[in-house]
Amino acid sequence: MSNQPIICVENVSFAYQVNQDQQIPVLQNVSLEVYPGEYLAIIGHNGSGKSTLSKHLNGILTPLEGNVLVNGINTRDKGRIHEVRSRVGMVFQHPDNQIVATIVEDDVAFGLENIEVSAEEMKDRIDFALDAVGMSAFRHRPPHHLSGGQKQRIAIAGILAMKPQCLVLDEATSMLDSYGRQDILAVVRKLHREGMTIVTVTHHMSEVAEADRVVVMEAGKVVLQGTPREVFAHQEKLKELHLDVPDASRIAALVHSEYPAFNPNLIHNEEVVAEVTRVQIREVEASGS
Amino acid sequence: MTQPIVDIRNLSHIYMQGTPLEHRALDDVTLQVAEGECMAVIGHTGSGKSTLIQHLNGLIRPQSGTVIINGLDVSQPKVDIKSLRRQVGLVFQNPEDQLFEKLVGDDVAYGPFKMGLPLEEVRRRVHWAMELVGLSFQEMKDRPTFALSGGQKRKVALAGVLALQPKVLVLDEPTAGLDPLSRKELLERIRHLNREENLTVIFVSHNMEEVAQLADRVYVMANGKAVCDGSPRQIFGNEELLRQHHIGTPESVDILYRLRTEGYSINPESYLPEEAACEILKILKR
Repeated sequence: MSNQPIICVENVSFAYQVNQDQQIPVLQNVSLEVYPGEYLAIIGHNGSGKSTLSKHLNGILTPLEGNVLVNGINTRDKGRIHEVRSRVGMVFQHPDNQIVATIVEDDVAFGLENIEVSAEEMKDRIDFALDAVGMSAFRHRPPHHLSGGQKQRIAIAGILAMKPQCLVLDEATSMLDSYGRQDILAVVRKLHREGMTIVTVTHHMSEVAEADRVVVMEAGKVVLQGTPREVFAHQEKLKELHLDVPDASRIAALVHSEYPAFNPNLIHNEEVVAEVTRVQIREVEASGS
Repeated sequence: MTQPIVDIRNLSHIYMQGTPLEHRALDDVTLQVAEGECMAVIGHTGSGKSTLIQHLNGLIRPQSGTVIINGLDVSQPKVDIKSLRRQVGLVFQNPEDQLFEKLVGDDVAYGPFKMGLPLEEVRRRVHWAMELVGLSFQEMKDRPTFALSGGQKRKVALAGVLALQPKVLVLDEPTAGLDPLSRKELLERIRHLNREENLTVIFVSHNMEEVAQLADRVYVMANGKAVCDGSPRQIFGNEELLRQHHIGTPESVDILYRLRTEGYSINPESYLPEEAACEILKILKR
């Protein structure tokens, strides 16, 4: 990971203006850096400000106070907003809200048409983007006949075609069934392996477990951050923040409380299975010797 | 079973009938729900769940077969749809679809107001419904709906339906997009309404943890047909059924299945995390 962040959020505050004399504060003096190649998860309860924060990352919202810099470009600089958005792409919660064309490949091409890419290059980029999300077979289909997970993959392809450095997912899996979610997670994992910077806003703690770093938001502030294992070790604190831990962590902690040799600090399902095997083998060896 | 509150017999529905895009969404579905039951409808995308629940308050009228709700025959062309919709409240998946007033309180009041209830009663019901879903009446009634988070919008939509005091509550993905605590609270509130107020609840969900926590009974659909109808324990204990119909498992059940694959003897019907922990302890203490 290089030391130069892609995105710098500097002392950002934001509020929704209700009427002339009333504001609802959403972000309060938030500072955050996103580094190249990083997989960052942002969690927090409904209304904690995490979605508002993610909308600042590519200038959909601009701060009331403070600055957001994308590769050094201030998102307030309206003249360079296209540059910002081509570097940081965003996928939203509802697949239907971000599909504009009647044929899959036209939808993927939509952003490219706006930045005047040559026909030749456009074809290459569409091929690349549809291939990356595993939807090449659907390129001539109308998107409204696709499942939610497939639509989200098309939305991601539309962003990949712009060749961004960073992909921001704002609860992109929350409307999908578990199979649709697995599809998206597989695509995100692959992109991350190939070097894409990922920022994901999610309520699914098992997704958070896959990230490199977790930022926890509460009342418009960052209140906790660290690796998933560090963050999920704070079960009580998370509960206070109206959050949860993956079932794997909860089960591991429950087993540990009755059986201290069992490692409580697990976050993945397969780790629980491996730990059962490890502890059992140790038991057998101990009783055999 | 005494007279079921929802009685669906041999219901079929075909979209775009007579065109090349013809699609049979429901195929001879029969389903009875007793008053006070809490039932989950699950199935892969495109299995017909949404088409089925839209029949419950007359958004879709039966093409063939019958739908009788609390004695009202929805198949009859002259059925009193207003009365039907007062008895069956439907909360859609996307809360934005059913919020249209500027302020939260007005939005929740819309239904009762249209019913012609006196102002005091409307106010009482709005207060009751908002508190029930976990929105403080004092704090939230004058909030503009556009400044709400996704989870808050969902609560407002639910409050708007509860304010009509329906006999049957139908929910499409009730907690999608909610944070863990809001999800837990909302599920507890729905459970309370179901248990204490004898509200019949029918919900569609992809979230198997939610199905495990809330449902007395699970109705599994595939390709427009019912493929299984049983308790959560029977359904989640049946790995083959879940895999065959592309239905996810609760995470704790996934761990148990993985242990079974490794050769451990476990009871996969133990679907709650606490029960899964007990199963693991049994292995370790054996």
